[in-house]
Amino acid sequence: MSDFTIFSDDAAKVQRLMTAYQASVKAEYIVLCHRDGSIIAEVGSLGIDATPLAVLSTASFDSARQVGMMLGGENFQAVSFTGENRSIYIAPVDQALLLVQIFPGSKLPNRIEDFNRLLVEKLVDAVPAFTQNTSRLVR
Amino acid sequence: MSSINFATREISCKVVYYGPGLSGKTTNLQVIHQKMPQDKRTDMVSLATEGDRTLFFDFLPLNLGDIKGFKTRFQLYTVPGQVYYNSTRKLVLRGVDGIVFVADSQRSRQAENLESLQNLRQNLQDYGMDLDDMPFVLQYNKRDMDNVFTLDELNKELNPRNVPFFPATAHNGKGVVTTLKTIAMLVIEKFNVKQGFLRQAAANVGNTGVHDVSLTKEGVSVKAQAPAAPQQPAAAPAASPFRMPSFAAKPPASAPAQPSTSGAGLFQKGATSSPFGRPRAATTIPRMPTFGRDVAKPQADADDEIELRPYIPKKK
Repeated sequence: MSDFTIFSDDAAKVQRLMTAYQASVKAEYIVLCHRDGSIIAEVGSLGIDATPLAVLSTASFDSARQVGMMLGGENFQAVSFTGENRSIYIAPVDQALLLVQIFPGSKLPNRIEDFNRLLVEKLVDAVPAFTQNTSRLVR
Repeated sequence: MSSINFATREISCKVVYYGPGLSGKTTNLQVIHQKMPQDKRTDMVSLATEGDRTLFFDFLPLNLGDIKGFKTRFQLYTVPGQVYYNSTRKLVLRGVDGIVFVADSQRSRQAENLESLQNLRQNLQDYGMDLDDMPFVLQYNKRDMDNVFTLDELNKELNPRNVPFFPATAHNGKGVVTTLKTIAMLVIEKFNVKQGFLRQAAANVGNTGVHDVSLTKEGVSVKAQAPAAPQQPAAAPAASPFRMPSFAAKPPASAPAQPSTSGAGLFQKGATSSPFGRPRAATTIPRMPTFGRDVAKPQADADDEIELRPYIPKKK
């Protein structure tokens, strides 16, 4: 098993980026989590524990990926759900992380894919340590 | 996969309850959930069929208190035990730190126990992990049933390495918490050891590059990854097929074009409020931690030094 470390200054950078992004896209809540369920950063508030949300979002995304593999290797880039009062957009950040965005209303913002791609680029650029830890244990 | 977050001062570890179908994995989590104090009870998530068979997983986050100022959080998962859910089990196993194998003590279920154990070993191998190298305990559940194996018989079949094992009757809570405490302690011990190795390895290497730390029986060896070959300047990349709209106010037609200095762009909120599009300012804060280098440490780095001790439950 390998470890994943989040340092304070990296978390602060992520927080700033996500806060700016949230204001731009008017998301209600955004969480960046590891695909094993650990929360890295979150902005906004839903009044719920974010960990089950992160875990279930990971499960949703992984399920979609499995379905894609069954469909002959289709590589789904994101998963979204729309409800009456809220909508969710789930997309990966590189291999290990997941970005979960919750929006008010029954529709996702226009061009959410493009918004998301910009944020992902910024995140990976700002904190390369997220995608390559300083050290990792290999066997 | 353990994660340590210095910003929120949290350590998070993942424990998976594995075993054949109907062996008591979900019951274990339900018992743990019930035993949690009301004011500290977290929600348990269950993705199950209408017949209460686990479809995807059960999940229970568990706070186990503070260790040296770090909140220790365990994420407990169960997997679906039925044979045809193997791909789901693999997904849940990713990043696991410790495993509780819940075996059914009944003699009629021995084949399922063995098959599930073999399946566990195989799924871990697919992730490049070895069951023998990770925190692992056995729970022999359903000790109250008729026609069960003795503990010695079960150990002979399922426990050749003599890992910790616990008899249990999960539906009335017996053995559940003891099992959990032991696996938690083993996981934390392993985490502590690993942190020490990684710190030592990084100090030996004396750089902040990515490197692989191999833990072998002879000890620790560190191999720095080859630096990325300097990239040749590529041919001008094809223009992006989409162009992000600029929400900056367009200057009057008569005004000469000014180079944008505010980084106004898609996420413009104000000239100085959004980092998106803003030219990156030079920063003196190193992006990577400075292991071993003689750099004046900012105050916050003192928080990065931790020494974990294994969780030892207080005797009542």
